[in-house]
Amino acid sequence: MTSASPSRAAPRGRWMRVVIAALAILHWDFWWWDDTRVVFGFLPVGLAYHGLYSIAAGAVWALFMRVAWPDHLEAWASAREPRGEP
Amino acid sequence: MTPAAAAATAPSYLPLYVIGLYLAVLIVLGVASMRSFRGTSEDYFTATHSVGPVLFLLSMFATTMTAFAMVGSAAKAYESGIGVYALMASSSGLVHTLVFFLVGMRLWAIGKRYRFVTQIQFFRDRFESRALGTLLFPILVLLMIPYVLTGFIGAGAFVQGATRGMFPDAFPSADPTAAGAIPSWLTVLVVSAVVLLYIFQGGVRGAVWANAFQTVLFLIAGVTAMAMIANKLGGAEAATAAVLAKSPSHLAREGRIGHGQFLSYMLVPLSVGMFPHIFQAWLTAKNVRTFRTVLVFHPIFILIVWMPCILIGVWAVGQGLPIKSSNAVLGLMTTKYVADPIVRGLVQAGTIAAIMSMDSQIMALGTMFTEDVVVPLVGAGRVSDRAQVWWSRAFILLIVAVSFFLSQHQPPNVFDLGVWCFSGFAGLFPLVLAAIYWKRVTKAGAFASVLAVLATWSVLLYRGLIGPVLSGVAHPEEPLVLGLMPVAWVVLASSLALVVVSLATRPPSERTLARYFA
Repeated sequence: MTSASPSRAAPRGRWMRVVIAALAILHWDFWWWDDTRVVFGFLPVGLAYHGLYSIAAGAVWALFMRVAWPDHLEAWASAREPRGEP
Repeated sequence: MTPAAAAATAPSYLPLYVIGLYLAVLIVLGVASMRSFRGTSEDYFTATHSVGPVLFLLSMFATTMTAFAMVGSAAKAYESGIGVYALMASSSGLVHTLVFFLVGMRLWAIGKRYRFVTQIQFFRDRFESRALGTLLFPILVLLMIPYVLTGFIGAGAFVQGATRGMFPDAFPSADPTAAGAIPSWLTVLVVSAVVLLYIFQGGVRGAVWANAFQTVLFLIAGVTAMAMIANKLGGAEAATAAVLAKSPSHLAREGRIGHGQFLSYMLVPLSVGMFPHIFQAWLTAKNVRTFRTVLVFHPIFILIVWMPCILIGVWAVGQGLPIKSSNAVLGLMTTKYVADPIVRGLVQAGTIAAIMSMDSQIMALGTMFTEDVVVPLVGAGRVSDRAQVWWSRAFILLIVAVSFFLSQHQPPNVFDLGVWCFSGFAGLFPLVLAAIYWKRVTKAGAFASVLAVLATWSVLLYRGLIGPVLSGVAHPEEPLVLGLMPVAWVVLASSLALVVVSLATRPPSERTLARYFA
């Protein structure tokens, strides 16, 4: 075997776990719960926040790719073996 | 009425021609994808791991977004307000991609290395048990049928709403919301025939090509529909102001969505980790780098599709339209407020595109039946590649027939039906996560987890949906248990059973640990 198994995390993945956990917590925007104000004249503030949240999720993954990409998976997958079901 | 006045008020059939053109393109794509078919069952079921990043992004997106995303989101927003975006869209942007990264990329590697075509093959090997696969197959089919149904119900309701009054002679009805409209059974029949045609031609590659085309179309459709509806309503500001005047609570969450409900909804998108069609879609990726585009753009594509639908659903509240079934909101709004018939046709074709991306679900069920039932029963090597493809087609036909039959009964809200289906799959998520990352998980633990899902999901489904519907309740209330969505209890029961039973039973063999963890 020439490469680590799929379950192994990439180096520096620990920092990204903190970022993802923070993003997950920020999803619960209880501070806008009863707020009916609109931004840009038409967009309810609670909806605008979650629209930005979607963009932030994409941005976090762009960062993730630079710092914690599991390169080892490719080599592991390329060593094809028989299916071996019981 | 003078002839001139009658002509001015007559409905335009141009949108139907545009939809017909769209369906024809899908059939052409199916035929074209057949030219790339390599004649093997691996190619029919996984496209021989050949799909590049752009095609993968587009097809993966359509695979995860179905009638639930467009028809369901607008319908639910009409009932519950803007909070629906946070409940399913922004949470999916994070949770889907996290699952793609933690589970999808790993299963792609495992599937490629050990030549798995279905997730049941993986579980059988990982847990050293053929019986686990035998137990999982009917459960996965049972959970998938409601998902296929959402597509059928969504298509029927949308086209009915969009064609209301167009064919008064052909489809008369005492119900004003269905008078002169194309009935749901006819829509479902046509949609099924087209899906079957291109799947039978090109297998999973046909589904990938069709899904990519559908994604492009419904990304454009949602935004265009929102812009044109806003324009007709006097601008987006006026449309939102009408809601604020009529029902301000639709613009917030207080009184409509509880905090416990909101937090537990975050577990629903975990379902993508166990969807058979998503597993099959992952396997089509050319290499692990192919996943990069999906991770970055999936949440943004969700924003582009869901935001317009949520706003259209909420704006419908401000207009006070006579709406019998919330599933018809999107169809009605586009018909009423998108003036140009060709653009309206494009918008409606885009919505149908989202609905028709159920093709990959049907394809995955056919694959599972062939690989997990027929081949193990008859014996590996005794079923030719050609016979495998035909077995798959036969099972697909059966599933479509059953779904067609079920869709003709009083349909529930597409969104709620989808959430029930997702909750069952989310309950199975701890199983796949443990299979990849936890060496100590055992065969007995896996059985216990699957049975715990089956028991809790069935009881909660009966309590929350089947029971009320059987007793004549047309719109059951949110099925909360102690303020939390059923998914929370299903995932909790599944996780507890998995951990407790695994720790109490014998660990897997050294051979299996070496295959997955060395």
